[in-house]
Amino acid sequence: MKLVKFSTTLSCGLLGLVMSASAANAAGVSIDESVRIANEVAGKCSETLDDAGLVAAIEKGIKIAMDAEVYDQGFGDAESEMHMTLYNRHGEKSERDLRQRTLEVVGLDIGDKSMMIFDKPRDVAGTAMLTYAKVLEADDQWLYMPAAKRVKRISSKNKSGPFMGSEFAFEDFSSQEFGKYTYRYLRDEPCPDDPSQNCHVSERYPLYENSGYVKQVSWADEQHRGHRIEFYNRRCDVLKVLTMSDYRQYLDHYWRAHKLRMENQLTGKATDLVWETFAFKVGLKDADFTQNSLKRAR
Amino acid sequence: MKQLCLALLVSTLFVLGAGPAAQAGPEYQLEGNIELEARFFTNDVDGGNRHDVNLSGSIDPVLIMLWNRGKHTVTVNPYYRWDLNDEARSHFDIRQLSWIGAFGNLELRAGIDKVFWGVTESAHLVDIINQDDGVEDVDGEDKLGQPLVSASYWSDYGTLTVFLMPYFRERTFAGQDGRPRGPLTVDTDRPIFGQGSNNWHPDWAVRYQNSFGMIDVAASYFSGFSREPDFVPDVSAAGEPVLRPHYGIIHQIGLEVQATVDAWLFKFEGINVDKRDGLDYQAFAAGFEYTFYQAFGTGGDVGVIMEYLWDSRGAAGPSPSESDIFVGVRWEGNDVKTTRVLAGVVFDLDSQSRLFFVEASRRIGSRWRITLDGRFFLTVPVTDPLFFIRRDDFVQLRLARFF
Repeated sequence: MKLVKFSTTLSCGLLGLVMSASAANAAGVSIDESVRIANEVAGKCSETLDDAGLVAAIEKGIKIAMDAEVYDQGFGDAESEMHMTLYNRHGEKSERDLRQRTLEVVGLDIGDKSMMIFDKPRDVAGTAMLTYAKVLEADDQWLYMPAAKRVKRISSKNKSGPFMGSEFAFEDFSSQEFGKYTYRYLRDEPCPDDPSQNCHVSERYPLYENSGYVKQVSWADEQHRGHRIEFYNRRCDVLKVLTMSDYRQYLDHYWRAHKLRMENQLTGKATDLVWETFAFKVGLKDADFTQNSLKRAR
Repeated sequence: MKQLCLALLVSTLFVLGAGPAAQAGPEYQLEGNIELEARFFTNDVDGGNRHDVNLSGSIDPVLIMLWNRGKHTVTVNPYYRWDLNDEARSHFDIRQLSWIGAFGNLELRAGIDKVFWGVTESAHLVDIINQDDGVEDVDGEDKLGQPLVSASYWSDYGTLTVFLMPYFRERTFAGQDGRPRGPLTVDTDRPIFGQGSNNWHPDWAVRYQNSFGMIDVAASYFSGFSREPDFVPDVSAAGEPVLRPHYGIIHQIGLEVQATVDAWLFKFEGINVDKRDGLDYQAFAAGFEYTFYQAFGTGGDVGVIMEYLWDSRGAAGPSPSESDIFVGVRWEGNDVKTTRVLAGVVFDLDSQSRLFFVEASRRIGSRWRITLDGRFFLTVPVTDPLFFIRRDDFVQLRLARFF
């Protein structure tokens, strides 16, 4: 799971799929395939694309996403505590507390290892989930149920389901790997929440199966920080809007948003996800991400 | 048992003092719950003091102390249940009193602990480390704490764990006034041990586990007292017929396999049991679980489970699942209240008996959970081991408050 990269890669990740400095493949998807996908989505959503500039837009989108991916590399490992507040249409609240540990696995064709531990509500306290993320294949995922002390390997096919009843889907949480999307640059404009900054606006299309989204549109500034993402469902309606704020810089380099707000445009429900603490390079190793460590996850 | 507890407590505290205390003081976490349970039996039974309504309560606090960011933990989990009608069901146990130390790829445990092995849902054949707390519920999911020492080593070649269990726990059974129970009371005060004359016996086990892509495999070997007793008819001091539990020495080989393919989980669990005093037998459970995600246009998931259960001892043996099919449906609401429902039927292919159960629960507020259970034994012929509890169908309401 890569909430750690969530904010930055989401914003920049909307654009392009560049494996290297040259505009070519990334996670096996060629420019031609990206063009095809962009046209396919445009067709579904009753839009027409300007063919003349399409390849350039895709290449630029890929480059912006790749730059963000490269910028965020090298964080090694991270540990964070999060507080989630669920709001229904009437503003009534439910609270969730969770912690996450991530171990960066270097390579564009493989995702990170992560563990998520649930603290609140108290009836699920002690429940934990271990994930070995992949890029386009299903993740390896295990769930620990503390009452039975049982580790169960679960299917990770369920991407679009709600995470802990919130407005965040599993795919919104899971490793935001560059290779999971193909990208198309749209335009530059002032960032929605901070007009003093310039934002690149791009579209991105999920390459992995079972996504609930046909496309996403993101706003990311020059420092690879995401500001806003619009999620489009299969009917091309804007289903959810994510706003990222309270950015803080770590190790003089990595930017992390401390507040994410996801608003469901159709139901009026919302979820706030606030990072209370963030620590990098805490010394996590592979041995901290095994079924044994899952059973004693605290 | 009390001497053992004291010995383990002292040694745990010693380890506590010697090792982790050298670093910063511990972080504390409290988990667990207190629960009230009301049971309503749908049939009367003749004789004795066995009522149609029962009330029970349990307290299950878990205190965890962590040192050095969780590298060392000590967990203390006492458990107590009080039962209105059945004094044998009122009982105290230490579910966990153990130290766990992580040293790189090596994990050590010492104390009273609980270990789960297995992949199937309707039967837990391979799961042998802990004894069943039989009075809790009929589904074999509740366990007594097991004194043990274990060492587990993880590498790219898998995880190897060895266990030493110096003290054997006897199974708990409902008493004279308890429901459900069989036709004769089990005389838990007078167990028969197949080896020696008491609970002290060096049982041991080893387990190897690894994941190969989408396949998870585990193989295990256990040597020691069988957790499942045979029953020997006898007469109580008062001259009434009772059953004495007999625990023999066995060697069990176990195999667990799960393949996770998209929304499918394919599962297999099998055991081969060599009984030193008795006939060897084999048993397996095999099946699948398929999940429809976001079923019916909602955020909830519907899981379908089917498993086949087989026991080589056949209809003459003690297992009610000698050739059975389990079909279950699971609903996970994925909603704010974490609503879940599980319903299932076990069909006995030989005796045609059916066991139907349903369990539904949801959160109330932020700290409470309410659960409604029902268990119904249908069309059970006289030849089936379930015959004697066929009139103990019940509906159960539980309310738990979490710490």
